[in-house]
Amino acid sequence: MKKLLIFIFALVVATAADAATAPLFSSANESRWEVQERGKAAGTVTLLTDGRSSRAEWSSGKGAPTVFIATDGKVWVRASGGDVALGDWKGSGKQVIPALLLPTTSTPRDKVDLAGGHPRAYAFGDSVAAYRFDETGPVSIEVKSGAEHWVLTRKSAVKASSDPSLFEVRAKKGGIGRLARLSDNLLGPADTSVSATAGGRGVEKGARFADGGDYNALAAVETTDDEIDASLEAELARFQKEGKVGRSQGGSR
Amino acid sequence: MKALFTALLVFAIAQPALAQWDLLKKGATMARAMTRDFTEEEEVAIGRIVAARVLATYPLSEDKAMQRYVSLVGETVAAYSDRPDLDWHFAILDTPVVNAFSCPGGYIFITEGALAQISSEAELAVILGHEIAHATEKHILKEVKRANVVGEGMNIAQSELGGGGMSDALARKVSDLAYQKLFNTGIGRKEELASDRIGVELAAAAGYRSAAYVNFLEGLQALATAKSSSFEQLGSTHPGPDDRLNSIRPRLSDSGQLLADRWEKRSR
Repeated sequence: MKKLLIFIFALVVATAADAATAPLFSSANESRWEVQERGKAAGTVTLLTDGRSSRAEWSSGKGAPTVFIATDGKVWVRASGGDVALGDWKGSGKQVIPALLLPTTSTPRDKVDLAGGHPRAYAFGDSVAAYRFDETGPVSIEVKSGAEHWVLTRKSAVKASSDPSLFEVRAKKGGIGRLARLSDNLLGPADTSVSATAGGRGVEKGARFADGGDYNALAAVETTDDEIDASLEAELARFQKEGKVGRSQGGSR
Repeated sequence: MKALFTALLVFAIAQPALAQWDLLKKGATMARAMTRDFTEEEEVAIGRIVAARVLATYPLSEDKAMQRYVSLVGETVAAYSDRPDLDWHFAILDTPVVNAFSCPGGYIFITEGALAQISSEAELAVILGHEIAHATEKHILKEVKRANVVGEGMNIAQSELGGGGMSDALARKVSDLAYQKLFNTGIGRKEELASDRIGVELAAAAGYRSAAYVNFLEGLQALATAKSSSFEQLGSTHPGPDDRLNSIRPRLSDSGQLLADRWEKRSR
């Protein structure tokens, strides 16, 4: 009985801790933010939130906007081939955009200070964000990371219900991720506690079959591809610009 | 405290019922599998089986730089496909045989023999576009379904209910069927010509000069005429190069980038 009570107490504490991270906006909302870096215009962010999940579309004015999605306690970034966890993201915005995504923190260890039910300061990665609120909600956020300094200023905010699909994460299906998704599928166990590499068979060796296939070579393809994917976005942009192909020439089918 | 015990009792009773519900849901999923299209996850799972078989037939090239180059071109073209968000994989096979393979779920292979026939990045873009089209049009997947894998779906279901997953026997069946299609009989003239058309469209949309494809197809025709052993497999699984050229020529465009220099530099 004692153990049960301890468990219930832990559950209550955990729930309270989760609730302690207040959202920027408490209801469905669409806001537009101007970003200044060291006093110069650095881009804009369109922030959609339903009070629990958030989607920030960060546009620096060069190329397509970068989309950050915060949901279910994790931050993702939309990349070629699917969404990658913020920790694996190599592109820009990582030091700033998470400041807009509360109540989701970029890692569970991040520290959020509250004042009057609002976030007052948020330390994530090497960055620290300081928030200023008025009666309409958050109006500006100052983010510092080492010598870097950004100010995000809210330019507009309207109540708006966003399509729930905008907050859906489409996780990149690299080797491990793909197998993890298989585990919730026709070909594999629905138990997500099973090792991700258990793949479709629910065993520890991954989705390998005695079917004449070379699964070691396949793993090599997937691993190499994951390595390429990690730096693909930046290289792809350079590659396409140099050859005047792809997004750099803006064609469509 | 009594309320707590009641809650625990309800929880204990609910657990087996929930497990049954989970089982029923899985059963329903399996039943749907017999009539619906494969989900993307299933497609990728089948694609991995097919890709593993391709890799058991030809080894993977160890040329990492070329591998990266092919990936960059492939990703550039795939972004204009109907499925830009699919996790595309592009890899080179170490064989002089002239061919390229498309497996379900976005696994695309091109042989060193095929790369040796190419003289510009635009040609590579169209060839990869052709393979991307096979994947987006689900040509192999349709063959798997047509070959009564629907019936096999029941085997998957039974195995799943038994706590397992896809069986070795079913994987073997999918693998053998795909091998037969990719390496022996081919997918069909209509599908190949459609893939040529879509491949050309994708490469052109990505900014490549689609007319470069003429060079590749003429090269294939030369190999066919010379009865080169490196062309034997491609010849048995695809329409004749002349046939393909005649079909696609009206759709080719001279605008866009050829990038012969970049190809020359990066393919050395």
